[in-house]
Amino acid sequence: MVRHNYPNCTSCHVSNTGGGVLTQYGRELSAALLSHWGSESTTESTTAGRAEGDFAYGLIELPKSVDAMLSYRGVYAYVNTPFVQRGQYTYMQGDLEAAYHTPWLFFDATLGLRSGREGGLVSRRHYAGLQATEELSFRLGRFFPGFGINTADHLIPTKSNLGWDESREQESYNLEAAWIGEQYNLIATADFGRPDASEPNPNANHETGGGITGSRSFADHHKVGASYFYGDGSSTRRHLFGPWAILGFTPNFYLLSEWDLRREEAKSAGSSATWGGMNYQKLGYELTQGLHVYATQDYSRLDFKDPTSIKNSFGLGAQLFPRPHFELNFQWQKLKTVALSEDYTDLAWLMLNIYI
Amino acid sequence: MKNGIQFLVVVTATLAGALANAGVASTSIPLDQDAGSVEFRATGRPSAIKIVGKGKGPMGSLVLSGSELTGVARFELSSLETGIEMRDRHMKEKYLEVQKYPEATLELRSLHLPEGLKDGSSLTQVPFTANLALHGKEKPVTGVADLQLKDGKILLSASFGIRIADYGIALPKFAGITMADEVQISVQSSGGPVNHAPRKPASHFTLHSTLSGCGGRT
Repeated sequence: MVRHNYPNCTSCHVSNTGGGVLTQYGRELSAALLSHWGSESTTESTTAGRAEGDFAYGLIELPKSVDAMLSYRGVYAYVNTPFVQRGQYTYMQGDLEAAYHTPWLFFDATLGLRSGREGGLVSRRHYAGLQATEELSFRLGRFFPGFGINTADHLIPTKSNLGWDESREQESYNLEAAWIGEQYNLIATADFGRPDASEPNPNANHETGGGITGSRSFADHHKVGASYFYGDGSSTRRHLFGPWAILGFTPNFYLLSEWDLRREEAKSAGSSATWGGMNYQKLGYELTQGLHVYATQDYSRLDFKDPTSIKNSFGLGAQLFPRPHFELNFQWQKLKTVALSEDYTDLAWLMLNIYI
Repeated sequence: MKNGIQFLVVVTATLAGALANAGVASTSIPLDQDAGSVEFRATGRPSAIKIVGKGKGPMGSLVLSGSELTGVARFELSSLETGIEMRDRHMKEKYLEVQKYPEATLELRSLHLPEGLKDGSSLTQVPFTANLALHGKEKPVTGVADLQLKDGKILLSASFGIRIADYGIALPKFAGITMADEVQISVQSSGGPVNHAPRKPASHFTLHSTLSGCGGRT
């Protein structure tokens, strides 16, 4: 949305770092700017004062102090490697998220069904916050710390390799201070890990630490930033840092780019630090409102001294927002994981995202 | 957040030609609407939402009398577009009420240019006064302008501030976003070479409106 002069995530989302429940304005923009059909349906254009993009299509009227969203995401993935050829549909996540806000305070929580065999209910995000001024806010609770570009593509190396994979419920408990201004954003986070989850728990990020991410928007359609994070895990310490950019060359042509370096050292005596890095690029073009085509490239090498740590992929995709509440995303990738094979394998997936 | 309106006017070669020709008592500088444009800049809060709108160039003319630049520029408000049809309708129908007040008029009352300007000259922060008629009300405005004479063209950029409430415009609100009262506008105009026969200048108006407002977090 930077390409449409909306550099701040809070233009559409409750969260400072984006993602999750939409504000009412975000819903209006979803209809007016993102959807191929249904852009004419806005709150003020309908006789009943309800719009197609409203929560539950406007059938359930929410108080102005409440934003809510019921979302479902599933994916059909096809993998073709020397070892397996398989297509499978997977439920990714389904959550109800609600946010309540006053001029000074805000509260947010999700409740959803856990994916995988474990099943059960999970609250990925829940936090309370203070809106000290228009720009300055604080929040305490469970969410991802601000770092880099927040995208729903959780399998990209700048998310999955960094331990911020929402499919694995890796949100941690944090205290965040955020300055969201017209041109500058600054978000500082103290990460307390998961004191509520017993170790070891593959679905919990027990790392503690903190980070900071800052950005500047310029020329109406661009935003550049840099992030730093320090994490202290049970067996390793790490430093992460790198620049990122969201560039709207035109209202239709855009680039997401993130480059991260990682310095990690084991806590065991005598170990030396390991340097590694990763990047992600997504170059997209909106052919017509609601229909995007894009190319992606991502690369990770968690240990510059170890060539078998290389993962490299590139791909092409298409994303469709047919009407408010719906998103279809298809991508085909060529993927190489050197530790498994020097050959590229195929991965294709079709994701359905419904947000009501 | 920057407050106020930037009124950026790039004056054409005709003005430059007038400056170069001694003894010319008064020179009219017609504004070419087709070659111009208008842009406004607004900010909605919370979330520092930026809205940029563009429209046709202004009509009218500027007049250079000695070293004083005056004139009248008229702008079609219905030509403004922000990129979102819904928002454009709200802006024009509900707030600007273009069906009743189709034009905004900026009457430049006084902008004093120093003598001896020649190609390559540039001036900054030149004060000016004007009257802005908008939404059925007229208010004086003051601002500063930058002026540059280059390659036979004169580029004049001016800025000033208004409060939309002063013009009887309701504070725009939509879906939890409140627009600020203060607006930023810039206007641009350009034209042909100084050393040739005066040409019809092009005009390019850019209106930047920066609105800051209040409102709780949504």
